[in-house]
Amino acid sequence: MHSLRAFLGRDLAYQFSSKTGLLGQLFAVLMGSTMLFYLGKTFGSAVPGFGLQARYGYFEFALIGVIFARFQAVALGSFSAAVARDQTSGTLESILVTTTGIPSMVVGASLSAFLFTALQNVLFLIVAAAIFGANLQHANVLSALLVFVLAIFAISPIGIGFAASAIAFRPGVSGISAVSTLTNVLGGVYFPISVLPLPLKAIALVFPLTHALNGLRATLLEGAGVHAVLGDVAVLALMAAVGLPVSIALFRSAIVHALKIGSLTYY
Amino acid sequence: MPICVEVHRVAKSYPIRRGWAELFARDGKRTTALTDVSFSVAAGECFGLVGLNGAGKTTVLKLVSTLLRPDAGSVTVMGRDAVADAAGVRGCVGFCSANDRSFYGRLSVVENLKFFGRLQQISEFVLAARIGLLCDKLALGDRLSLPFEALSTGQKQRLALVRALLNDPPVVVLDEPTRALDPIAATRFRMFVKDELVRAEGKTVLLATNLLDEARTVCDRVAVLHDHRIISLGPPSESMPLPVTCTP
Repeated sequence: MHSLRAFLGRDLAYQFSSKTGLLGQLFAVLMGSTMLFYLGKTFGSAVPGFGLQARYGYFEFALIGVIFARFQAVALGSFSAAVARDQTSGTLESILVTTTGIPSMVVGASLSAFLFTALQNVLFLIVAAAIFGANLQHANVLSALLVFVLAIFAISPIGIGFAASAIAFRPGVSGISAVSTLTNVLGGVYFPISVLPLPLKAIALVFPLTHALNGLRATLLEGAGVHAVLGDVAVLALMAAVGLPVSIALFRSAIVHALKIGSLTYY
Repeated sequence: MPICVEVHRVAKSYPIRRGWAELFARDGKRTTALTDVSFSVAAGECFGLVGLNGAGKTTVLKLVSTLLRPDAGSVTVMGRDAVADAAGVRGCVGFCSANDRSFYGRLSVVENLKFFGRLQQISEFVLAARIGLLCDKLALGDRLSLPFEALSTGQKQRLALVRALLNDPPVVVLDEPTRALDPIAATRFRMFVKDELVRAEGKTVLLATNLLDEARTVCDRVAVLHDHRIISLGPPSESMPLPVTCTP
């Protein structure tokens, strides 16, 4: 708890040390909602492959996509960012000589990033609903929460894998942005994957993001229960069950390797 | 006096290739940092590591602080093995380096100290008291709300020592602490280490330096590192064999 409090305190202090940065984030949320709203007005529900029978329009469709893509970015990048940021700034060594171990450090810094993203996303939803009238009244919140948690657990192993790479070798985040961009394009953030050609659709089904968005849209926008999205829930649970132990083992090996070669304190 | 820190037949080398290339390197070229290094430090002793740049002083300190694992040999601190019980060792060691990038520049002095203190699992009440006490002792009491980047070099170095002492560790590791200080500030720093930490509080201090005068002033015993080995070990004296370019 002390470690979590330390990282939350540090990150809060950093956020508030730059008022313009905070305002910039608020502005980005407002502009993001505005852009999606007018894209929705432009396309309505006339997107090929996007069901006319749906109880929501393009605005709500893309809103859920963009909001979860932000969580995915944190799940992919926050673990390695927790290491890389302090590695490049020179503060990592000072953290590593405390009684807080590397796993606690990575979890603490990531939880802090998740919390800030969650706050931004709540604001995003409030702006979308209150100003632009996003229709979320059918939301099945409990089912959505289950899908959300499973999705984060399914995506995080990829992020932990990148963190292992940053620990064992060097801070390197180019892989993260490649994975993030690929999944955002093919995973259905901005358009339904039904419009994709068959080979790309097959690739999209490998990504946890695709199943997460299916489940979240069904539960949040159509009020579906868990039984209606059981296929996506099962895939996410399987990915999490396989990915988490593998990535944690990889992470531990990376720490041992880094302590042997001294790469933790490169900068 | 009981042995507090023991370094036994330690060897350490680093791969020359780093990053992903190291995974695929077949030649396994490595650069040696330490060869068969052994010494022990008694509780309450100030022990110096003297040597040229690249002699292996910092590697020894990183091994004691668990930032590195030895290739061979063992390191124990207060009876705890630095590999098998790394967390236990970290609880006993306060590490103070001369790296002034080891703090968050935009955060204030107190925000920085609270961050690192919480990572040491110190309760909020004790932490606030330790910050107040140590900052007063090291003349930083009126700098608490300033951003770290606004401090002078001497103040930054004293802050690094405050951080190392937050959890009141029995062992303090100092890596070239006076490297960037002016002569007066360096003298004051040495006096604090010798009079306050070692004599008054009975802490065990490991001090790496390439300044022989500093070692003579502060340390009870000195190990001279040269070519990754200890070539001399004992009380600092004029007759001690030294690498030729070591600052007299």
